[in-house]
Amino acid sequence: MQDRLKAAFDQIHADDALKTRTKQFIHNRTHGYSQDQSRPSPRWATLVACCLALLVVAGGYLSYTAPVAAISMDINPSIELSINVYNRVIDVKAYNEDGAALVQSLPLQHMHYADAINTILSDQAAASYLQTDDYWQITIVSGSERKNQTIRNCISRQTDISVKHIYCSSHHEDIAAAHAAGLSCGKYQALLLLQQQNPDITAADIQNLSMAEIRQLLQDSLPEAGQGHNQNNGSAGNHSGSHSHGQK
Amino acid sequence: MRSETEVNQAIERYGDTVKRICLLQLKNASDTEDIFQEVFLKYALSSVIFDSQEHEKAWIIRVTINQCKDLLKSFFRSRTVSMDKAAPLIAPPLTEQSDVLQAVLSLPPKYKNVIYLYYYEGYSAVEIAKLLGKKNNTIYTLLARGKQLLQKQLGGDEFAGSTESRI
Repeated sequence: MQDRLKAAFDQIHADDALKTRTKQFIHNRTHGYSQDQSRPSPRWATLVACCLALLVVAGGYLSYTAPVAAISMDINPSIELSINVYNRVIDVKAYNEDGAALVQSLPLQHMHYADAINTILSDQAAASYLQTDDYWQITIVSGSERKNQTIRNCISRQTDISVKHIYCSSHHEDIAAAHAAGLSCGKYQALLLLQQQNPDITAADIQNLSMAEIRQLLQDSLPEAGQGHNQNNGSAGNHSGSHSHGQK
Repeated sequence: MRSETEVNQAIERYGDTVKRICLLQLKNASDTEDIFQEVFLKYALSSVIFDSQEHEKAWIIRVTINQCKDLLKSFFRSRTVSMDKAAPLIAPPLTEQSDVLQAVLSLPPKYKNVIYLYYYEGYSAVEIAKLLGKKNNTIYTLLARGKQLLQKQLGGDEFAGSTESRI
C-alpha cells in the first residue's frame, strides 16, 4: 500500500508554467532581487499610520486648546476671553459678580471672538451698563503687536467699536501677571498706570471698582489735570492704543 | 534576502512537494498557485540559515502547511466562492493510483498531512510531531486512525505493522 501511495503522489508535479509564473512573481515582488527591501511591513505601516493619526489629533487638540491671546472687556461686568490660534473663544473668565452672571447666561465658548464680543454687547445686562456708564474698555493682550492689530481691526470691523478705543499690549506675560493679581487684563493695565503715579495702590484696591471709578482715580492721580491716562501709553511696557470712551 | 539562483533551485527542488501539500489542503488551482508563490516568496525573503537540505525541506513543508491553514481560516475565503471552484485541482486519469489519491484526499483534514508526511515523505512520527508542533501521541493516534480509514476505503492490510517500524 505504501508503494501505491507513493506511486499515486508521484503523479503530482508542479508544472513548468507554474514554476515560471512563480519565478516571475518573486522577481517582481522583490524588485528584481534588489537588496533594498526597506518597504515597511503592513503591520508596521498600520502602526506608523496610527501614530501619525494620533499625533495629528493630539496636535490639533493642543493647538485648539492653547490660548494665544486674551481679550478683556471691562464694562462693569469684567470678563476675559481666552482666544486660540483659530480665533475661537476657548475660555471665559469673569472677574466680578456682574461678569459671572453675564458669562453664565451667554454661550460664548468656541465662538469667533468678534461674534462673542457682539453677543456680549447685545446682551441686555451689558447694554444697560453701556447706557449708564460711559466709560468701559476692551483690552487685547497677545504675544505680538501684529496679532494685536489684526484682532483690533477685526473687532472694529465686525462690531460697532472704534479702533482708537481698543487698548493693546504685546506683553503676553501680562496675562499671567493680571491673573495672578486677580484682575482682568484691562484692569491690570490700569493698575500699572496707577502705580506709576502712586506705587502704594494694589490690585485689591481696584478689584471691585468699575472702570469709570478706576478712570477717575487715574485722572485724579495725574499731575496735570485733564491729560487723561492715555498719555501714559507705552510707559507700562510698550503698550499701544488707548482706552475707549464708549462706542463710535 | 536569498539570491535568484537559490530561489530558482528551491522551486525546482521543492516545487513538487509544495504542490502535493497544497493538493491535500486546497480544492482549486487558483489557491494552490497563490500558496505556491507565497511559500517561495517567503523563502526568498527569509534569512534562515539551513543546516542541511533536510532542514530546508522541513522548513518549506511547515511554511506550506501554515500558509494553507491561514488561507482556509481567512475571513475573505470563508465568505466567498472562487471562480474556478467548479474546476477540480487535478483531473487524474482513472487508474489505481488515482483511487489511492482520492482515498487520501477524502480523509478528514487532520489525517491527510500526517499520512502524507509519514507514507510519502518518509518522516517518523516524532519528526512529524516536531514539524507540525503537536504531541507525539497525537501523531500516533492520527496515523493509526488515518490508516484504518484508508484500509476501509482501499481494502487490504498492507499498512499493518508499517507504523511501528518507523518511530
